[in-house]
This record gives sequence, C-alpha cells and structure tokens, in this order.
Amino acid sequence: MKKSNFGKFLLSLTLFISLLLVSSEASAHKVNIFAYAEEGMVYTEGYFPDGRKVEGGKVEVYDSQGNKLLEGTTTKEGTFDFKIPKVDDLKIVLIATMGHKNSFTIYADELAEATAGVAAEPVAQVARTPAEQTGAKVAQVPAKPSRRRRREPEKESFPVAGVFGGLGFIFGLTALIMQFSGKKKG
Amino acid sequence: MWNFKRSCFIMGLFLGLCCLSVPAPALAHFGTLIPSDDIISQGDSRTVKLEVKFIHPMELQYMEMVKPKQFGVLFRDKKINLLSTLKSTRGKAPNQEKEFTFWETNYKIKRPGVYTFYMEPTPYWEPAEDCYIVHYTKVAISAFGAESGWDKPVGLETEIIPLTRPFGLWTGNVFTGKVLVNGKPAANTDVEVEYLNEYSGAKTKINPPSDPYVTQVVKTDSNGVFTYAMPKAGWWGFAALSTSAKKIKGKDIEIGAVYWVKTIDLN
Repeated sequence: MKKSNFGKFLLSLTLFISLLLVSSEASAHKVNIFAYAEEGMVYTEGYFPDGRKVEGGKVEVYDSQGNKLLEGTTTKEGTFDFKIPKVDDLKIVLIATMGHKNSFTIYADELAEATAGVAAEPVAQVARTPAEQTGAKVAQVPAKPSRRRRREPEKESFPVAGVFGGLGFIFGLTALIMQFSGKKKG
Repeated sequence: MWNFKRSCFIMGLFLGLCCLSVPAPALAHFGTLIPSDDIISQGDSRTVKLEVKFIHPMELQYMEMVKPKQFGVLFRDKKINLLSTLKSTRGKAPNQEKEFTFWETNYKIKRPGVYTFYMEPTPYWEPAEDCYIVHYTKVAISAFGAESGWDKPVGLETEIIPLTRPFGLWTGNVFTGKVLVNGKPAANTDVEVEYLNEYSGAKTKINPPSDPYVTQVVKTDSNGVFTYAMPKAGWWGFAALSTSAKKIKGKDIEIGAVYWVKTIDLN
C-alpha cells in the first residue's frame, strides 16, 4: 500500500511538472525579426511564424564592427522604428522571452538608398531619435560597398524546459507502470 | 457473294472511321504557376520569377496561352493586381515542333508573410473535349519566417484551400486540400495530380510505364477534402475539375482549381 501511494504521488507530481514545462515550451515558437528602410527610417517588426507579434521584445542594433548603436523595445504590434543611425550593414537583434532570439541584417546599400532623399540634415540633430534616447553615439558614415552574405542564424538557447519536460514524462510513465505492476502483485 | 464482299467493305470502312474518331489518350491539362523559390529566407534573392503556363506537366507538352484574365497576389488580406507585369515568352517540349506562348514576371518580396499568387486564364477552347477550359491556379510563397495566411481563400469561382501548409514539404508528405466551387465545398469531385517533369532539381526524368501513371486521380469526400502523398521531389500540381454553371457560346466550361506545391528530399 505504501508503495502504491508513493507511486501515485510520484505519478501526479511528475505529470504535473512535465505538463507545466511542456505546455509553456509549446507556446514558445521561434521568433523572427524583419527590417526595411524607407525615407531615412528603419522599420522593424518581430513576429512568430503563426503571425503573432512579439510584444515587449528587446531590440539591439549593431554596426558591422559589432558596436551597439541603439536599443529599444517592440510595441504591441511588434514594431520598433528608428532613424537610420549609420549607413552600414546593421545587425538588428531581437531578444524575446525564454531566451529566444533572432537577428536580421539590413545592408548598407538599402540604407544608402533610403537615406538618399533625406540625407541633407545630419541625422544626429533630429530630436528624439531612439538612438539619442538610449544615448548611443550616432554618426553619419559614407556608404560602403555592401558585402552581401548569408545570415548566420542565431543558435537558439539549449531547450532546458523541453529536456526536463521529456524526462518528467518518462518518470511519469515509469511511475504509472510501477503502480500497475504493484497492483497486480498486491 | 457480292453482297458479302460489299458488307465486308462497308464494315471495314465503318471500323476504320471509328478508329479515326477515337480520341487520343486524354492528357490532363494544367494551369501552372511556378515560382523560382517558394521559401524566401534572409540572404536569398528577394526577386521571385514566376512562370505562368498551360501545359501537360508530366509530358511537358505546352499549349498556346493567351494573356490571363486575372493575375495577382493575396498578401495580408489584400489582393494586388499584377496582370500588367506579365510578359509573354515562348517555350516548347523537346518533342514539340513549334514554340508556344507562356507568361512570366518578376516579383520583389518586400515584407515577411505568405504570398498567395493566383491566376485566372482566358477560357481555352479544347475541341477534343468540346468545351472551354478555365484553370484557376494558385501557389504560395513564404517569406522571412512568417507562415500564417496560406489557408485564406482568394475568392475565385473555384479554388483549392490547402489544409496542409503548402511549403516546407518533404518528399512523401501528403498534401490535403479542400475544393471550393463558388465558396462551397465540392463533394465527390475528381482531383487530377501530376508531377512537373521538368523540375530542375530532379536527378532523373520520370518515364511513366503506361497512361494511368501520367495523371493520378483522387476524389474529394463529402466535405470537398482530398489527400495525396507525393512520392518524388519537385513540383506537384493538383487540379480539381468541375463544370461551371455558366456557358460560353452554348458550350460547357471545365473549371479547374489548381494548386502547386514543392517537395524536397529528406536528407
């Protein structure tokens, strides 16, 4: 009897924990970020494959040397827009919840094209750019020839929750089998 | 004796005429709409070339195609008319003598999302079947990791609504779709399936041993749903055939809802 009770307890506990972990893992899809430049601005949007927007995701913008130029947070619609800080290959990193992140590189040629019409005034003088808000240094750099390259996808973090969920499930099954085999003998 | 000879002659003549009038094996006509890529990722070319043809996909036989009536793309619930971007060009199968007109365009993908391209051809008169043929043809492209929207109807007279996500498919996967005619499920409808035998990624061409292998046929169930498992990497076309309630010059119109999907080998 004692053994059976312990089995039941173990079963419920592991099932509960694995369900908890598995269900939270299932809702965490791969995140994506996309960016395009138009009339001196860079528009970004963060989204999941099923179309849901990444709300409150952290966005970081790096130049081709790896210097962080600015950062911000996505809106309810998953967007984060900023004035072109520099005509360079910009790497835009989106960090969502549960350690999921992805990046998008917008190339210097696209930025140069989007800057062409509005480049007359120095970007740094325009008030309240997100870059200024974050205190990032904003510099106007002449366009460099773009170096097209394939993206190196950010490796997703080790799926701790998934692994624990799986282990929990196995324990749960074992407990179930133990309980049944115990009952037969009892 | 004379009568017997004459009877034989008449009979022979009659049989000969019968043979002549037996139609050639019916090849399945397919509206085709094939993009140069069905999944656009970061770093890929953002310009997609689309070819619009009217062919027998397995035999690669072209048919003359006049400019479509409608050509566009459904993106984020909006239909964008692309008819004016179509340019005519010519092509033929290796065993065809003359070249036939087909159409192509380049489309620049600017935003993430699913792009469903659709085409309504100008009715094609097919004397062998004594009817006009109109194949409403669709294909979907997914760009930059966004995958929603592929199950949205375009609102054509007849169309296939995919129930299987129509991109990122492995060889051997099934493709399940729902056939709509005037927005309602079409039950018990023939769906012809053909492999596009000119897929550039294919290592070998297919040589069907006999006619039934050329065009596979499945039927829709009472909900208008059909399923087919695709046994080879490449483009697969699904044509659900119905007869329109309308007529042209008193003749029937065969309406086809055509959908194209691509599979690649799992390695």
